[in-house]
Amino acid sequence: MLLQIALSDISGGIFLGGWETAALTALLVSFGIIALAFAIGIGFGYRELEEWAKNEMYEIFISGLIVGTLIGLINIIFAMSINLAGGNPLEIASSNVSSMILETNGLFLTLLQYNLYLGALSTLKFSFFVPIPIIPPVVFLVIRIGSFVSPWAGLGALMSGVDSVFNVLGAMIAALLVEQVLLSFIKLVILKYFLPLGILMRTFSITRVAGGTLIAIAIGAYIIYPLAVIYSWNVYSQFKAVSTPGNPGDPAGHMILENIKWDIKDTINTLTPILKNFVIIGITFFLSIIITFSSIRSLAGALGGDPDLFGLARLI
Amino acid sequence: MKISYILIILFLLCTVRAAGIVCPATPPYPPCCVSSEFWSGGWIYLVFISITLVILLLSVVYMLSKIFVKHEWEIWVKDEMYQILISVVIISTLIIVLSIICEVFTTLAGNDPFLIAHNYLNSLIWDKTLNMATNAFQYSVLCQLLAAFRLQIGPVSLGVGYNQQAGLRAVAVCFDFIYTFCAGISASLMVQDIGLSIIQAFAFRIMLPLGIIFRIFPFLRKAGAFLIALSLGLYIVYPLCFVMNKMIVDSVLPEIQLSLPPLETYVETFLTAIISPFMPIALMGLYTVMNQVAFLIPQALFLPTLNLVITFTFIKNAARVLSQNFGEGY
Repeated sequence: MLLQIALSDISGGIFLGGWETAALTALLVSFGIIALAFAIGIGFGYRELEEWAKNEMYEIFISGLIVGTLIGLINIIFAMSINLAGGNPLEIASSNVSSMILETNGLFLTLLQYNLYLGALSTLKFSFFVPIPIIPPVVFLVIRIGSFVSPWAGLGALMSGVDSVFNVLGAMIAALLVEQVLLSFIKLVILKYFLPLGILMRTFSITRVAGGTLIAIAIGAYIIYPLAVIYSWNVYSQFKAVSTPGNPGDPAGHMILENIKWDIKDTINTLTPILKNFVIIGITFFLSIIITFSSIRSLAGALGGDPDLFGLARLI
Repeated sequence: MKISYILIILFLLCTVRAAGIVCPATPPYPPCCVSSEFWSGGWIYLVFISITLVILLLSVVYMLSKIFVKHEWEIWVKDEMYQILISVVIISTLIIVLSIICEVFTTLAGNDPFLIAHNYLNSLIWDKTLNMATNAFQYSVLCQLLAAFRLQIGPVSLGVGYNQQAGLRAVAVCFDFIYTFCAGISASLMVQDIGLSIIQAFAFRIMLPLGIIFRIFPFLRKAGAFLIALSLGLYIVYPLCFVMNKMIVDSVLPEIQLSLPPLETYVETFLTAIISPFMPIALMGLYTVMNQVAFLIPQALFLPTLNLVITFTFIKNAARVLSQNFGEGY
C-alpha cells in the first residue's frame, strides 16, 4: 500500500540518463566546491568565506536529505491523498472531470438543437401579394401589392440570449477539457521530468531557488491539484443536488409549442439552471486553480524556492 | 603578496582559457563563444585595466586614510580588496568552466540547444497552432455560410422562406474564439522564437563581457552581477528548457493530427447540413477542434510559461549569489 510510487515512476529516463546518478554526482561536485572554498577560507583567514561555506554545507545536507528520502516522502503524502480521496486521486479526478464533461456535452447538444430550431423559426417569412386589377378604357393592368410577414421574428431576441448561454457552455466545456488534459499531462510528466530536474537543480547554490520552485510545482501539481479537482467536484455535486435536482434543464422539452405561442417564460426558466451550472463549474474551476497555486507558493517558500513565480508567469 | 600571486595565476588561467572560447572574426560563430569585439581592443585587457585602476584607487584611498587617520576608509579599502579577489575568482571560474558547461549541455541535448529550440518552436507555430487557427477560421466561415443559407419554398412573392441553419452563428462565435486564442498563442511563441535568436546573437558576445567588467567596479557590482546572471540564464538555461520541452512532448504527448481537411470535406459538410438541418454536424467539428486545442495547451502555454519561470528564478538567484559578499548572508 505504501509504495504506490515506484522508483521507475520518477526515473529521469532519457533526459538525465538516470537522475539518481546525476543527483549523487551533483551532490559530490557541490561538496567538493564547498570544501575547497572552506579550505581557502581557513588557509587565508577569510572568515566571510568560511561562514559562506558552512551555510552552503548545510544546504547540501538538506538537498542530500531530500534526495535520500524522496521516494518515502512522496509515497507518504500520496498515501494520505489516497486516503482522502478514497482511491487514486488522479484517476478519480479524471473520472469526475469526465462526468462533468459528459453532462455539459448533453446540455450543449440539446441547446444547439434548440438554437437551430429557434433560428429557423425566427427567420420564417411568409410572403404574399394582393393583385389589384386596373381596368381603364384601353389597357387592362394588374398591379401586385405584396408584403411579407415574419410572425416569430421577435424570437430573435431570445435567440441572442440563447447564443450567449451557448457560448458560455462552450467555454465551460473548453475549461473542463483543459482540466482533463492537464491531469493526464501531470500524471505522465511531473514525476518523471520535473521532480528529478528540481532535485538536481536544488543541489547547486546558483540554481537552488529554481530547483526548489520546480520541486514545489511537481508536488503541488501531482498531489494537491487532483485533490482540489475532487473537492470541487464534490462542491458541484452538492450544489446541483440542492439547487437543480434531477435534470438541470431540458429546453428541448419546451421547443415546439410554447415558442410558437410566443410563450418564452418557460424557456427562460429552463435556461436559468444551465446558467447556474455554468457559474458553479466556473467557480470550482478557479477554486481548484487557486488552491493549487497557493499550495505551490507555500511549498516553494518551504523548499527554498521562489514563491513569487506567478508574477513572472505574467510575462507570457 | 598572497593576493597578488593568486591574481596573477588566475589571470594567466583566464587568458589561456579565454583564447579558446573567443568568437572568430566572422560568422558562423560556434556555440558558447564569448565576444571578440572587445578582444581586439581586448575585453580581457579591459578587465585587467579595470582591476588595475580600482587597485590604484584603493591604494590612494588607503594612503589618504593613513594620512588623515580615517579608520573607516581603511576598513572600506580592505573590504573592496576582498571584493576584487572575489570578482577575479568569479571571472576566472566563469571563463574556465563556460565552455565545459556548454559542451556538457550540448552533449546532453544531442545537438546545439538553440537549434533544437528553434526547430521545436517552429514546428509548434507553423505545424500546430497556426494550422489549428486556420482550421477554426475555416469552420467559422462554413458555419456562417450555412447560417446565411435561406430555403425558399414557392416564389418569392408568394411563398415561405426561412434560414434553416441560423443557429449556427453561435457555433461560428465559438470557432472565432478558438481562432483568436490560437492566433494569440502563435504570436506569443513567435516572440519567443525571435527572442531566442536575439539571445543567441548578443548574450555571450556583449552582455557577458560587459557584466564581467561592471562587476569589478564597486558602484557597478550589482549591475555587473545581474548582467552576468542574465547572460547565463538566457544563453544556457532558457534554450535547455526548450530541449526538455521537446523531450517531454516527443515521449509523452500523443501526436495531434493537425493537417487541414481538404476542400471536399467542407463541401460535403455544407451539403449534409443543408439536407439534414437539425443534425449537429457543426458540433463534431467544434468538439474535435476543442479537443486538439486542449492537447495543445500543455505544450503551447504551460511549458513555455514554466520555461520563463525557471529562467527568471535562476537569473534572480544567480544575480544575488554573484553580487553577494560571501559572508553577509543572503
